[in-house]
Amino acid sequence: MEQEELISDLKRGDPKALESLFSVYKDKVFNTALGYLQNIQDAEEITQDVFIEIFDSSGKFKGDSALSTWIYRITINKCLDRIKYQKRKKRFAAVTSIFKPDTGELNIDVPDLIHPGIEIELKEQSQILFKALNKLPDNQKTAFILSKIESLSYKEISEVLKCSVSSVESLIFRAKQNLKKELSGKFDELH
Amino acid sequence: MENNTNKDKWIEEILSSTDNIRRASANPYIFPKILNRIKNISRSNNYVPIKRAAIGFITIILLAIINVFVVFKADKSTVNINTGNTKKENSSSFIPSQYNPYYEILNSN
Repeated sequence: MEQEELISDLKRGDPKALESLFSVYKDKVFNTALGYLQNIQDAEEITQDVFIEIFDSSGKFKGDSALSTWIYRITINKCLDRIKYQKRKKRFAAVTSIFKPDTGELNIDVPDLIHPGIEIELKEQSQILFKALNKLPDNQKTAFILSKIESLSYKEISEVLKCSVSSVESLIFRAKQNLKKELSGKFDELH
Repeated sequence: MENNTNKDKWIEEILSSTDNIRRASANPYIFPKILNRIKNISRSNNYVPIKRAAIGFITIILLAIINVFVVFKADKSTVNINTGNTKKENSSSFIPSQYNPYYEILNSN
């Protein structure tokens, strides 16, 4: 089905159009969300949220950008919102734990991700990388995930992030520098 | 020196651990859940929850009471000012041409 046809069917509220869209984009959305949130359950919830948002706001899609770009943007925004919510929850848990030390609410840290798409012998290394990724600023993390985890080209990333290709190059360069710094500390800690 | 080489090698290994990553597949059973949630959302959009309606109603009543209170209070104060002004306007002491600064002193004596 063509992109325009799919969107016009979605605007009419056709669930079959949503199903077609789901079958094409579900893995892209899920994989991006997994790279961000590093938790399969959270990534599945974000996938649901993204497709509900697509269904609800298909009228807002003007066709200025590719459909995939629009879907990636929704996914990233949902992930950032979820991370903000988790941080808020963590802060609240920290405050409440002062008054109720026995509740154990502080224990909501994300467990180390074992990404299903990584070769077995690299699982340990990738766990360290995913943990270090969480220390990056949002824009660097987004650029790095879209490039390394989603294998998007710099041009595609620039369209998703609404910036120039050179900005994307700079973001990824800075992300790598920051990751190297972070990993250097981790090496000293481990050895 | 050797330690630094080992460190750089280790960092490069970590950074390249996702080089041949395969895209993770989403669970196909997510779609029925999405449809279910869409149905629930559209159903819940058809009515306003009682709690929200009650809060809205109470807010309107409170605003109306505050409004009436403020209007009545403002009316009273306006009347007082007007009465005061009328008295003062009628008083000749405020007309400069007829104002005699010694009048009150002379009268008091």
